[in-house]
Amino acid sequence: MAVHLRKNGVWTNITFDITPFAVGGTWSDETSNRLYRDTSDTDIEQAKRIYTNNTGKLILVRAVPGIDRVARGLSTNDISGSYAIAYVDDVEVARFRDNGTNSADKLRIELQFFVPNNSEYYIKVFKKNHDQSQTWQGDDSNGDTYVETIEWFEFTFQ
Amino acid sequence: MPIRIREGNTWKLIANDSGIPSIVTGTYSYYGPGESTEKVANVTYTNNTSKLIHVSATIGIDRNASIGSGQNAKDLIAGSYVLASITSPQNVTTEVANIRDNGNQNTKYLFLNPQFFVPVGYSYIIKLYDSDDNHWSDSTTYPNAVETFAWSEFKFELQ
Repeated sequence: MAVHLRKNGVWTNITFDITPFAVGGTWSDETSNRLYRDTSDTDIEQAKRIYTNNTGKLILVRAVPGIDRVARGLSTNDISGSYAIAYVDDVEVARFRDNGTNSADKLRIELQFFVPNNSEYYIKVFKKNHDQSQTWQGDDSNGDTYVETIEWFEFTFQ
Repeated sequence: MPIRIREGNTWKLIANDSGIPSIVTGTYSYYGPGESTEKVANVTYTNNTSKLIHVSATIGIDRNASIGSGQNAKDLIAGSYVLASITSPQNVTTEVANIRDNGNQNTKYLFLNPQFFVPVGYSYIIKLYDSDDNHWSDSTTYPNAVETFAWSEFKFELQ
């Protein structure tokens, strides 16, 4: 039953049906729309790999960059120990190394991190003996990028 | 125009323009190297923020700088792992992350990135062990080997 108050000669309803608060969200597949940031690219191309959360909501990014060692003509020693770092507003927020056997034909590195609304985010991929200057970059002799996006999903909180 | 009701001898405001929180959002705080506060492994921290937080810490060992480049150094860091645990205000401890470095032992850097939630009022700690379950902080030979590469805390808010 509604409760009313008298306000300036009018009875005003002061009770509301407020929906209980719950956290929800939706996944979106951005695999075809996202790629790691290749530091050998031009500034313009690199800028394209810096993404902005314009959803108006908090998002969780789950990104899996990887390298198909056989298809790219690389050795096991080339890719073993590679790792990726995720940045939000240019600060590192997640790091993950390929910890698998160096006999793997395909390198997979999964990163997960939160991105507040309006924040920028990107991913870089590094080789094993890093001082963070040895990034994966460029294309193979066939013009295929060494690092590809295997999966990239984004969860938007509602 | 605000609406007030009378309680005792006081008129109290019962309506205002503030919205009802309905959106999850949040902000990062950073505690890595170079920040005004740097957080490190083997130290207990408490979530005093009144909000749920999500911790993402990358800790590890710069092998060449801290231990050396020989086979003995490689053997020492290979297979190291971190355990993260949270402890409730009632003193109940729960393990929330267990990450092992199974990588190429030739890497010059060991690093591990546990991620976990810390409820309000809970404390948390991250510890690094070698492959033989020895706590790295107990090492008398390399007492300062473990360092922080990055450390962030994401504080959830309602908007």
